[in-house]
Amino acid sequence: MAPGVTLAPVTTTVPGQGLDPADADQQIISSVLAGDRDAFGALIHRYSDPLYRHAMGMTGSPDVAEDILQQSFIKAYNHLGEVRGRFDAWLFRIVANGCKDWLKNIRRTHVSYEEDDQPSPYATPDEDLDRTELRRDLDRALAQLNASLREAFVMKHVEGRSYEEMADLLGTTVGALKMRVHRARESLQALLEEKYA
Amino acid sequence: MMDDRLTPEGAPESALRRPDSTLRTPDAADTAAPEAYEFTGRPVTEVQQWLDGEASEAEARRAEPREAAMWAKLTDETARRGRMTTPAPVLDRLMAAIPAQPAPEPDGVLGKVKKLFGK
Repeated sequence: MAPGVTLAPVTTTVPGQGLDPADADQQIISSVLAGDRDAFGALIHRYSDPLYRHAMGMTGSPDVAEDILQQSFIKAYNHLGEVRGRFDAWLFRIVANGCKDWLKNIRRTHVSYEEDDQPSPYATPDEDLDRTELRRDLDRALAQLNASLREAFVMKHVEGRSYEEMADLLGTTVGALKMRVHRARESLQALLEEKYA
Repeated sequence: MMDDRLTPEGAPESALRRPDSTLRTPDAADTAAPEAYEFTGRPVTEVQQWLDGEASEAEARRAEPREAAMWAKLTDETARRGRMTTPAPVLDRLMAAIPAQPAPEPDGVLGKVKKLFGK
């Protein structure tokens, strides 16, 4: 359990505890489909952190990240009976698509969220000025990447996934993802090197 | 594998957070696709290799000291973001937003039979 999380911990009465994660997921899903709505909470607990990080990395906004997660979990709940294969990968795709849809919409409506002068959502009250500035500059630089480059960079460097995992989740090749990550780094370097290199 | 990463604790230490010499041995998947470099049309720099766990930080710093120093700062920041957890009030709201009614039955033969004849 993450520090600061005050929700009730997963107890021994939660289905699937102590099993392989995929088997545990299946057991929880069976319980939910049998009418135990509260069992879905175990899935939220298990997956909210990595999904929240993904949504934050893609949108740069805590409010938007929360909205996307909320819609995604509701969608997952309403379509739980349709899960085929790994639940975690299925759920990730729902969230990832939600993030990409949001990016498409915000660019289409010309909302210049990346140019606002708000403090970085990753900022903490006691951090020094240099770090604050780096965070803000990184947010702005990330916002200038197209969705697929940003997604690849966030999955690699924020979520710490291997290229193999990324390929598995996104349904593409390791080579294509390496290319995206390399291009993302090149773009970020071009945007940031004058100040930081 | 991914299942390990998708836990409330977040990514394990083995994940690429801050490139360092411990990542000199790349996993097979990350080295199995040289075509990635062909697509970019540019040579792969030492810094890119370091960030992919295919070279050491020392090698990257020797080859491209300014760029490596910048990426050390950036990867510190991305690693910090990678440790972020869902705020407790957000978790509460996520759970509260789940519909009160039971999750719909699965589609397919079993679901149709259940709908027709009840449970």
